[in-house]
Amino acid sequence: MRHEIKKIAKMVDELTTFFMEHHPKSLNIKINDLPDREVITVEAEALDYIEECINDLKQFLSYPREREMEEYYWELAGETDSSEELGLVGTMIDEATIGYDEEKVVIELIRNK
Amino acid sequence: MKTVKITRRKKVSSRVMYRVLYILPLAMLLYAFLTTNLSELSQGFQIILKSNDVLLTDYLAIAGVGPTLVNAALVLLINLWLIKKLDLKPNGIIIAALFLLAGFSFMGKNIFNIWPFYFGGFIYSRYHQIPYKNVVLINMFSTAFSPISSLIAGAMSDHLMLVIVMNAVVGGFIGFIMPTISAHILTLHSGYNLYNMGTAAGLVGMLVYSILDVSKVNIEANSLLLQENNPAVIIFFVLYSITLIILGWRINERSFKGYRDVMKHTGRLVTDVIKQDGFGLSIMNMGILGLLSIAFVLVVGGVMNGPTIAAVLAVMGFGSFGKHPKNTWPIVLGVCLGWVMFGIDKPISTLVMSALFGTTLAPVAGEFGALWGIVAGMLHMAFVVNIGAMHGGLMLYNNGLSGGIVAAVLIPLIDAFKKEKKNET
Repeated sequence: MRHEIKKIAKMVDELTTFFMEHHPKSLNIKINDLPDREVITVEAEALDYIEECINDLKQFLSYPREREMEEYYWELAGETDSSEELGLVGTMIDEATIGYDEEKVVIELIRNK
Repeated sequence: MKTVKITRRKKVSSRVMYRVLYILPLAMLLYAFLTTNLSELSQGFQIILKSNDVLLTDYLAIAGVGPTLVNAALVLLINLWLIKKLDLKPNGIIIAALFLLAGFSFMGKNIFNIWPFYFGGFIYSRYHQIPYKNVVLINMFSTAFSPISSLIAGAMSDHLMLVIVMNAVVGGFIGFIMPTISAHILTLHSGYNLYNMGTAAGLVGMLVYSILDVSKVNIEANSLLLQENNPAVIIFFVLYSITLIILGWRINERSFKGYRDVMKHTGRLVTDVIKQDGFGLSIMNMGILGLLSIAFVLVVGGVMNGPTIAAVLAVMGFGSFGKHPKNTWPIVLGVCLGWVMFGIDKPISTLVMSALFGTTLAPVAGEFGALWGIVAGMLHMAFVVNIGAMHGGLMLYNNGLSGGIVAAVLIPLIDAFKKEKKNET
């Protein structure tokens, strides 16, 4: 895959922007580089408007992976502070899981190689 | 902690989407064969084949309605077949690309001159060992350079093999470089210009034109446009728009529910209406935009000629990828105000094209409000009438180039006036 490192970095940029807009007390992002996939895990604590955050995540991360979109638009990820760009992350991953309670949100994104 | 695995499925099957997409080309073929005999079709195709396709080439004026519709239908059908063959599921940008292809098949793209760019994209995919389906979308947009392919064919018309080889080399080279250039240009306007390929192709077109110009190669611009409305053509596109609204209403559980949500989107790249609001609301939005665009053409006294139909279809296509009435009207108003304020002395078709294609800047109005949208429209009006000379009409997306440069300047300008909200916590 071309520019794979930069694409992962852009996805992390977009996720960081998205979560920082909800003013978390702490934000941890972990990237696991496995032989067949990349796994990005984000853990955010004490967010503002947590319900809105969960709804946005459910909406934008439900997009199916679309490699033609990725090829054309990947450089836009993380460009501005608009939450609609999170949909671009959705089109660049194969699986998404969201875990949440009143205090914490954890998402795990899997991108097959 | 509650854990949810996100479902990643489409609500409407691809089969339904393809059936809806086939309506336009099949209706075009039906109309053409009912109204035009084979001899007229053949003559019209000869004219389309021999045209140099440099801006502005109006196939309706030079070849007639029947041959133009058959050309547009064939371009659309072949591309539909291609994306289906590559197992791509229609989404917002694919539908936008298809409508852009159909529209520009009224003014410069034809079944003879679009292929070199797909060939270049195919070589690109082999070179980087990626599936061709990854780049076919960019190839569909790269056909903006179709006039170059026609110019090569015109210059070497006596040597068919030479035409094929030269087009494979020149067009193939352009098709090869556009995936990376178009992706990179996105950062210039940060996604506030929907016709991104227009900006990318425009900059490349300027370079190509400059090289040809200093090499003393003269390129003749075209300006023959259809001057009178053909009521049947207007009715055709009105009926098609209404069909989309009715089908959208049916797919959306026989309701308009959710259409207000469509108009809440800023429209900035990447806003896929199909994914966010569903296929039904998306085609409903396309139909509504189609009717509004046609109404605008008629109200300002314009003519539904080739370039105007291209503009109407472009607005409709991007109805599935960011445009809606709420973020487009400020741009249209801004272009009209600019037209009056600057006293632009051009044919009314220039106003119509600038206003409709100018909605490439719809995300500016969607994100920053109607006032900035009007400003964007005015700037676009002033800029677009001057920028064509810089690429000599070698690429077809003149408004996309203007929109990209306007957005690149205007977005930081707006940001300079924007005060950051202080975090009270």
